[in-house]
Amino acid sequence: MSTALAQTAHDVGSRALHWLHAHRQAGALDGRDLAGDMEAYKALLETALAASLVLRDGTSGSEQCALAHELLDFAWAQLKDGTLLYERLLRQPLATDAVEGYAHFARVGYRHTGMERLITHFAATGTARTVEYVPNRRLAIANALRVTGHDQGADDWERPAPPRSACTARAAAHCLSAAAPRTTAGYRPTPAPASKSDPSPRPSPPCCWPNRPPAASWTSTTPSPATCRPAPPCPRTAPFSPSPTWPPTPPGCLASRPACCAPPRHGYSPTPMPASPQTTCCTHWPAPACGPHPAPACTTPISGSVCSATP
Amino acid sequence: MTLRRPPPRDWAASARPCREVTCAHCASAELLASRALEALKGAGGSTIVASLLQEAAGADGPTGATGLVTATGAVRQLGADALAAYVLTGQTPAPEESAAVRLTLAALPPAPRPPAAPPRGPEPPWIRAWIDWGLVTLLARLAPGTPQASPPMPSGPPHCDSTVPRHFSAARTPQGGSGEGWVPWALRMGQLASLALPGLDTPVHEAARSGAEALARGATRSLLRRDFVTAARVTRWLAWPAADNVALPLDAALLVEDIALRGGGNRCLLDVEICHHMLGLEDV
Repeated sequence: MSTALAQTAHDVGSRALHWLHAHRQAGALDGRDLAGDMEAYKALLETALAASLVLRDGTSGSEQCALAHELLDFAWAQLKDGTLLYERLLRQPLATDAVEGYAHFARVGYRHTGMERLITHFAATGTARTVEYVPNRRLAIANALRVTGHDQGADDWERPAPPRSACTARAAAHCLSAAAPRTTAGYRPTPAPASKSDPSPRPSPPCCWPNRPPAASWTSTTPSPATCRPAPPCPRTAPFSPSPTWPPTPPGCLASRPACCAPPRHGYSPTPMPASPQTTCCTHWPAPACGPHPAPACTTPISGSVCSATP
Repeated sequence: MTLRRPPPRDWAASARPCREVTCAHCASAELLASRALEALKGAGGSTIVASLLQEAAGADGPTGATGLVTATGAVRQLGADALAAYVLTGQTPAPEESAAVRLTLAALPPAPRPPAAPPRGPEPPWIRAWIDWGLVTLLARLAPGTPQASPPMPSGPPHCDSTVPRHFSAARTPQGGSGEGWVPWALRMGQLASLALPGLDTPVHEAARSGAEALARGATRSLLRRDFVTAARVTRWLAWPAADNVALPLDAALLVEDIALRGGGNRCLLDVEICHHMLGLEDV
């Protein structure tokens, strides 16, 4: 990719992210139930998908990462720290959107205790293999199980359902414990960003609703991301207003949440997630900007790795 | 322009809410079930029934005995489940514990002559006789020192017939010529679920052993109807033969896990925990 093209891609992506951030309240649930506003629910999950991909790819600057974190925090708070996803999957076990949506958050370290247990059960029951979903949905479920750490192998979605009739309870107990080895071990470590730590490159995860553009209902009343108003000012001089449930972030610390070095986010991770010992943790995020370190610049050029420019 | 589809109907929200604990007996039974559940998980106190009775007597004060009577009824309502923690963990109940159970049996003595099985006799007294028999038998086994007048074993249940319509009730044929459909048969087995404990083997257990398919159907039906209390009770009859390596037509471990995740109420959770122990599953 040429430098000019990369710059253009970065500009477009940056403007789109700014637009998403600026209009995030348009997709807020505001305390409603998911069944009461499915459009907002869909928009929240797609926003989370976009933000999590920004963090996963690791090629964005510090400002983009900060925006993505704010978007994820906002969406997670709107979903009541994952409780709404949990209730949806609990009440409608055949609806797979909660699993797929949770994967966007789990990719960057958000966890919900009940949801982890439900997804373990979801994977053990083989719902995705038993029920006849369309192929792209099956692929999305398989990817969600892989991201959340509940997959049972590389070709999980290719395997036929096991014969239930031959399964005794003892064997089932064995199958269940073998299929879900992480249930008793607590949370697995925060998944390291896939682009750097994953040795085998996997196909890009599919979108949650791949055939529809994200937030289609917004674009009818607001300008498209490409013609959106200019980016908001530097977050250090004009801090964004975070969601009301999130404690206000001190100025200068907006870029201080590394994607995987971060301590467990309070409120939705009862057991501390062990910090990944690999050095990949800091390859996606500049050194912490809080404290004595100088804060990173507001706009980081896309050329080159961000990490190489950090002290 | 965006088409707004009507929101899908939330079946869980529109379904009938869980049975609310309104009566004092049910509340006391729930409390006793929570005590037994804690004991089964190894987190409870030293006694289950005795502490419940003592608290009820203490709450009544010197004059009234309403709470004590209620607690006594709760023990009889749970039947052998009140002692399930001792059976499954291998502990020996304390002397005051067996004395408390014996007190409840003396306060409401079991029927000396159990009625005939449902097609010939009335069903509720017959079920009550079975539950009482299970409690007395387990108590005699756990605390063998003091003899307890054991009532005679009631007669076995009608058999399940897979050829008759599923809702066919044995009450329609008083002569007992034909069996029952699996729906009423599995529901009755669910009412007898407190007998599904290790160490007991009666005609009811024999019926469960031979009717695994009907039990699996009944448990699945209750699960699909979101009646998790009944599903948990029927599943106990599936977990009991599974401990003997009897092949089941469904995955009992997954069924129990589903009930554990989606069910509620202490009695339901106690049934789930007993199933966990009988299936040899780790506590999840």
